[in-house]
Amino acid sequence: MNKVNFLKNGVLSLTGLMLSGCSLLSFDGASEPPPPPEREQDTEEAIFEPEVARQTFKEDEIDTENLEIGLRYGILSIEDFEVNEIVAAQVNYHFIEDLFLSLNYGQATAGQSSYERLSGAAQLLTEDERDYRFYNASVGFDLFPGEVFFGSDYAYNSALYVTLGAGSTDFAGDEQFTLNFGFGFRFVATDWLTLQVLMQNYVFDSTVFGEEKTTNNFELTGGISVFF
Amino acid sequence: MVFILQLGFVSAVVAEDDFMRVKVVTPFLDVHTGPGRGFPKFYIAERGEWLQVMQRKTDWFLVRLGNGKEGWVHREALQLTVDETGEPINIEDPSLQSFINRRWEASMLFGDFSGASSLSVAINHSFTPNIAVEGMFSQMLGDFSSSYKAHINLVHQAFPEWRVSPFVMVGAGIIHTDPKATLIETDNRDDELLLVGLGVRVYLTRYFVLRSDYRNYVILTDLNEDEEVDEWTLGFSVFFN
Repeated sequence: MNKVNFLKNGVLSLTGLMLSGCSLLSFDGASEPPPPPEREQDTEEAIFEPEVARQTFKEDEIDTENLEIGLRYGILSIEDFEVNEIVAAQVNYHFIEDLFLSLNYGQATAGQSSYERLSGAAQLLTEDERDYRFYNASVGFDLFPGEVFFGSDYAYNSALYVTLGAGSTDFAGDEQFTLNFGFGFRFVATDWLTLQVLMQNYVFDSTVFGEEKTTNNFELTGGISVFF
Repeated sequence: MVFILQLGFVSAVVAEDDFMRVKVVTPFLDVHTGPGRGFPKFYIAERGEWLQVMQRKTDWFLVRLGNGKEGWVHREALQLTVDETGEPINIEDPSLQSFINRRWEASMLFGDFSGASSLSVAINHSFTPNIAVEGMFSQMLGDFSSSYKAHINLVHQAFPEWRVSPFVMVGAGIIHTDPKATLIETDNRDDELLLVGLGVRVYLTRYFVLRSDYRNYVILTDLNEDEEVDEWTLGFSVFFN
């Protein structure tokens, strides 16, 4: 009698093991509904239950993505000194849905003025003085937020924004107060990655040619930035 | 062995589903395609529906719906839901009270420093509602020189609970002056400075503050006489609690 029971139990537990194995396989395959769970598994699930349920809502635990850090590259037209490559970096903080604060730093190297080209040897600036560096703090406003579409299957968020700011430009051995304004287009590729095109004008006074004059320096860049 | 495997399976599910869940208890809740008021509503969640809160951008929350799709819900709408324990969820809405209780403040100021344009950044830490310490760094761009200054200010705010709140300050620091290269060469100068100032903060909305002040500096030069300079600034601040 005992021996029979022992065998019976052995067969049952083997079946149990196989069944659990099956249930695991079918979970992985996800092709058919799992067989009804055994009593043993029920107890196990009861132990795991507190781990998954009854979460209280904590505001601090939500991943906030208001900070955007990016790089941009393109052309800068330095008045009287050709169109040059520019590299710039920006940190943007989005306070409310359509307003952001932008801190920018960039640099370029000025080419030659027409005067320098025509005269041959005469140089207005030394190599060091051709370094063009700027920083500014700007406010950006998402003037036309919207969506763009690729074919019929893909929609991405976007915005046409305007910028206005002030900062400093170090060029031709002189630092000048600089106003900047422009507009840009932001393409939100994913929740954390955006692409932009930015067109900005930098206005400052220059005395390179003796008399003081106001210069307009246009930037056209493409950039990529990541939300944190 | 099977249990160990299953344990692994269960915890993998837990890790994947780590977002907080909220339940809609109002008759409906609008879900937008983007984090902005103008983005179209593409889904209306019904009473009893569960949403997973994935991330936040300004006042908008990205949620995953029961059908696996994702959309954006405004803070005000999300505040009408309950969490898994049935408690109404609470999201801080910055107000005048947050401004009064602020601990940190970052400012950007534009101004006039005795004829030169000045650009300043400052970080301010409030120890009590009345007393704060501020670190400020400025660049001044003038016709004859460009200079930098850095100083620490002790700021006293007599009426912290007012929306338009005046303050006074005293400070000390250093100023570095570079004469313009195009002029006759003079040496760069490093001097100490002392200041007194008077200003006002105006709480605008959300985390924004408009701020303006007047400061009078005494620059302790090596020359026979100390230099006295006035500065006016206007700018704005953002605060953090």
